[in-house]
Amino acid sequence: MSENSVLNQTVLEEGTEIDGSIRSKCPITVSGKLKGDVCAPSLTITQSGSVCGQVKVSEFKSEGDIAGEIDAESVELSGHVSDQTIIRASSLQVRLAQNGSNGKLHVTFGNCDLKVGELVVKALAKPVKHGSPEAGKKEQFKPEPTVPALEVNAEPQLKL
Amino acid sequence: MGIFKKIFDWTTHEPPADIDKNGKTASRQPAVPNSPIRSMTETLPAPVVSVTGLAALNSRVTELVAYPLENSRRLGVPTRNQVQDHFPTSPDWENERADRLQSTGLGGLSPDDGFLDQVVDAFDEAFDTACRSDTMQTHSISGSMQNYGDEATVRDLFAQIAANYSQPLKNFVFDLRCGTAFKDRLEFLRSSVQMIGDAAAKMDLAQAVKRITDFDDVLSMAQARPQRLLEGEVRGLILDSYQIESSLEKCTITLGIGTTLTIGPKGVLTGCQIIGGGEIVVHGKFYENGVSPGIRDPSRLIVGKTGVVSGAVQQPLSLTQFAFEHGCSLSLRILKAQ
Repeated sequence: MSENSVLNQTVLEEGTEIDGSIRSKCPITVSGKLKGDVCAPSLTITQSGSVCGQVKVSEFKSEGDIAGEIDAESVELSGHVSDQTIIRASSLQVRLAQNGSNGKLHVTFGNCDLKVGELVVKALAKPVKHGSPEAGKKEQFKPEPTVPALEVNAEPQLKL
Repeated sequence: MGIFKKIFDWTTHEPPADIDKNGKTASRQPAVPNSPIRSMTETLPAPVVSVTGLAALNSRVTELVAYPLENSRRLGVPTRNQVQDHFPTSPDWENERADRLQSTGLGGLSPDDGFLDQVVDAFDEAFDTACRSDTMQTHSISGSMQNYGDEATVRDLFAQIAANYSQPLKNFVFDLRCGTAFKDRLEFLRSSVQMIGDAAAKMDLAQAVKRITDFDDVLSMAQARPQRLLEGEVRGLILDSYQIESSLEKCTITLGIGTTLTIGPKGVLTGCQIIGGGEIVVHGKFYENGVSPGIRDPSRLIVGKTGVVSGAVQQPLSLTQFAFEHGCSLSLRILKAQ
């Protein structure tokens, strides 16, 4: 991120609503409502902000409401994730609510999909059908060799 | 006296006194027949985690995990009686035991006739045999098929031994999770753990020995602390070192409210389903790969930076608290409460 793009910001203030797409070379902060697609180096949604649409950014941070499809390298999430939302990211961070939050959840999820981490995303991109000739060749889940170290935790099996 | 006998005595005989919440010694109230309280504790459901189908992978050692057992007590807020009474006996259990005896042709023997003592003695004898170093050396030196089979038998025996030794440990961890564990029990627990470690060492189970040693170190550290009640950092350390570190396949794990299931960095759950209002901490891998949703009604789902979770999460009405650390891998479908 260049120094110029750090200094310049696009800010959508609270009380402002935009219905349309935004493409920017500098970071965007949304405190109002944005309905449309966003393409930018980073997008920050404050507690009062909401974004609904397709988002493609490098860094995504939300404390408000989001809906749609989010593609990002790094995601920090709190606030609310609406139904039918898909989040794809290399890295995702969600924190637990702090003690002083009066029982309020840090983040609430509707019906949504999270695809995080390169391995998982790649594996999903090329699903292997069971029974197909390629099934044995492609990478499939193989449980790691089990270490016989769980004896301490093993369930008692006293047979009477 | 053999170690099994010790455990048996320890678990079946009531201690002379108990510790109350303030750490003071208090006399145990005599059990009142037909008391509703007694009845309630006796009929506590047994399985915290019911493993409906479990295949231990790449291991000859039985790997039924601790958490399942610990958590198999479905309970709300545990009462002091529940915590103390680790081995409640209910009429149903007695009937079941009688049925088992009948089915195995041992119906004529009653537990009250000293049958349990015989079983315990047999375990002690078998354990002593397994631990004899000269026997083990014979096994390791010889490479014949006969000895290979013997070794497998010994390993199975070791699994059984470990399973029985671990019962007091599991009870202790349960109390620890409830926040009511005192360090007074650590001495006995450590001797059990060390005996398992010795047996593992004689069987050349190096990794098992290391983990058991690490766990014993943590217990030792807790023992050295001045406070009797185990809480705070020590409590966390013990619980952290007591977690799923194995592979489980196609099993159903039921978490009681307030319990925590931790999948350690080397733990892998495949085709499993976790049900219940407990907390799930994933540092290893969870692949639904079967019944969906793979995780149902958790109060918390925490995925560490090394954690992998693939599957669906059904939230309870009260919603699930989620926490994901940078570096985790997720293929997660989150579903609202139905």
